[in-house]
Amino acid sequence: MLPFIVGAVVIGVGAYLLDDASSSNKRARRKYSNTCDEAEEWIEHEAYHARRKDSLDKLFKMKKAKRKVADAIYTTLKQANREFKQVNHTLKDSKESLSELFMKKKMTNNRAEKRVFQEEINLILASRKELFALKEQMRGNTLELKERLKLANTQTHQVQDEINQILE
Amino acid sequence: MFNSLTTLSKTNLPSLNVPTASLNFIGQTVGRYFEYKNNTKLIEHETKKVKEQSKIIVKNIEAELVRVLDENDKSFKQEMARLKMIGQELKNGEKSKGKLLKQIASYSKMLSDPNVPLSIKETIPTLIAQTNELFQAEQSQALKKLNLMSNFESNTKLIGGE
Repeated sequence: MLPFIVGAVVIGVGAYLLDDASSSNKRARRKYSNTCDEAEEWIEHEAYHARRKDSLDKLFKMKKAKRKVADAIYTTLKQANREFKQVNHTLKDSKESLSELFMKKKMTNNRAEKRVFQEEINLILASRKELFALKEQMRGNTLELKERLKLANTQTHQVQDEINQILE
Repeated sequence: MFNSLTTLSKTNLPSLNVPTASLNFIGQTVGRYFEYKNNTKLIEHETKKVKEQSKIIVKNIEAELVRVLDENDKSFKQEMARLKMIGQELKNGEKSKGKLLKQIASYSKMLSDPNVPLSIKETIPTLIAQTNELFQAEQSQALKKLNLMSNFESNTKLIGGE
């Protein structure tokens, strides 16, 4: 009789312990799986924020530099416009001198004087030719600067758009 | 303890008069119990390891970020210094261009000045042409400098961010 009782008790305790051990094993497995998921999420989250911070830092630096380039182009363009006006002013002055010389030439009857005036007129015309060439070159330069400024501004806006996209 | 119990399960205990089959069953049960317990310990140890590893990975990510940001900062500062230098060169170029234009204007005025002898006036168109060339050279230099400034992206060694 005794062996049966001992056997039954041992089997009962054994079954209980086995069940307990099995469920703690299952719990541990669940915990392991959850920890793995959490760790993965954590790493992904940190990596995402690191990438975001890195991208933003890069873009802000890029924007600052592009702004500086655009500012330099703008200053050069402003200067080019001033220079263009200056050449126009010189051309206007020489035109006045030219009209004056034509008038003087017309007024005089002295042939020698007429010849001198004509020589001076020719010299002014030659210098005006040079000034017109300069003016034309300046016009081309101003147009190119305008295009560059437009491009630089567009690029700066593009960088700003990228920043906004990341910040959203 | 596990080994001793396994041995016990394999031993016939005549004093208790317990059948060998029952003892084997008990032994297997206890064996499984300890197997489960061992597995639980192992899994808990692995769980701890995963946590520690993830902490190390996150620390590495942070360290890498700090390194990249620092490197970008250095590269950016160098590039900005270069842009500043070119900007200064551009300003100097503007000054010399301004001087050349003033020279052209004064040559042009000399042409309409009655006190300037004709022999000098004759050289003026050539002088204007020469100054004009110098001015154009300065202007193309300015454009080249602006090109250099626009190369910011390829010059700088900004890393990461993709």
